[in-house]
Amino acid sequence: MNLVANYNILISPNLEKIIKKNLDSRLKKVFEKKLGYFKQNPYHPSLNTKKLNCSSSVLKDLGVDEVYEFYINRRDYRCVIYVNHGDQSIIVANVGNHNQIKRKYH
Amino acid sequence: MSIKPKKATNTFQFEVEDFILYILNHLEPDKSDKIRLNKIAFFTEFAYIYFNHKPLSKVTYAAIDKGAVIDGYDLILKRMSKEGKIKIDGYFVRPLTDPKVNIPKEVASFTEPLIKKYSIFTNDELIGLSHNTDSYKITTSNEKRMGKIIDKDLALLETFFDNSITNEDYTCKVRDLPAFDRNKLVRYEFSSKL
Repeated sequence: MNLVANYNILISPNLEKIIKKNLDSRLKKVFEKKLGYFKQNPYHPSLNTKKLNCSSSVLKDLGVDEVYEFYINRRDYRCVIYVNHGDQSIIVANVGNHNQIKRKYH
Repeated sequence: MSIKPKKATNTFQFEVEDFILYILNHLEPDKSDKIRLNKIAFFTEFAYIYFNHKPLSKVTYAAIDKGAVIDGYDLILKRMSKEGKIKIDGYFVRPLTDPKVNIPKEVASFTEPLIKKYSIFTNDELIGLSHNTDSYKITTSNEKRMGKIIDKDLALLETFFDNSITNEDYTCKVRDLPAFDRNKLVRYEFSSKL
């Protein structure tokens, strides 16, 4: 995947609130630094990026082209990112640790 | 070791030679070698920045094949040896004086446990640890380019310093993925700059 610097980073207002709740100021700084890295290079060494294997039907349901996940810190806090090349957008789909994400989506 | 994040209010900063002397004075004689000095300086300072958001010393660090080191450490140590501040015996370095600075209690109470913690690692372990830091990986472009100065702001990425963060392994499952109404999305506004 090749991203260019002018991809827009989008987020839902609800998730913005969740980020504020889940991440302390230090982790938020790290998150934003890494989000910036992702925008420039999804495989930046600091990110440990994984591309999620989503079927074409899942991608179609989500309305995106690709789904990635990167580490905010080493093993716990993660960020899920959707990429849509058509409108050059990156969507922050989720941020948090395992338990926080589990509580929200299960 | 558990370190409580605490914003430093003092403006204290070690001079380069004082920081080296401070660390050397806390190392056992049989562990007082160049690799350990370099690595402990790096880990202590980067942990300090991570928790306090300010530098601990005027030392700059370079990323070389042996990991993060004090930039120009060989020349600095030779100069200190000539000035009678340290004794270099092959790979071992012993302090002959104390740092000429009053170290604030809160700085000492933060740094001394860190020096103790990292001094028990072997040199190979310390080299391995510093190779695994984000600061080192980013500075060397994943070990492709050596010799660059490590930006101290990168210390904020080193979340492994924080024991309060759990290390539960987790992989996001596809079924967890949320769908969004694109019309309700807003542009993400960065709130901080590193």
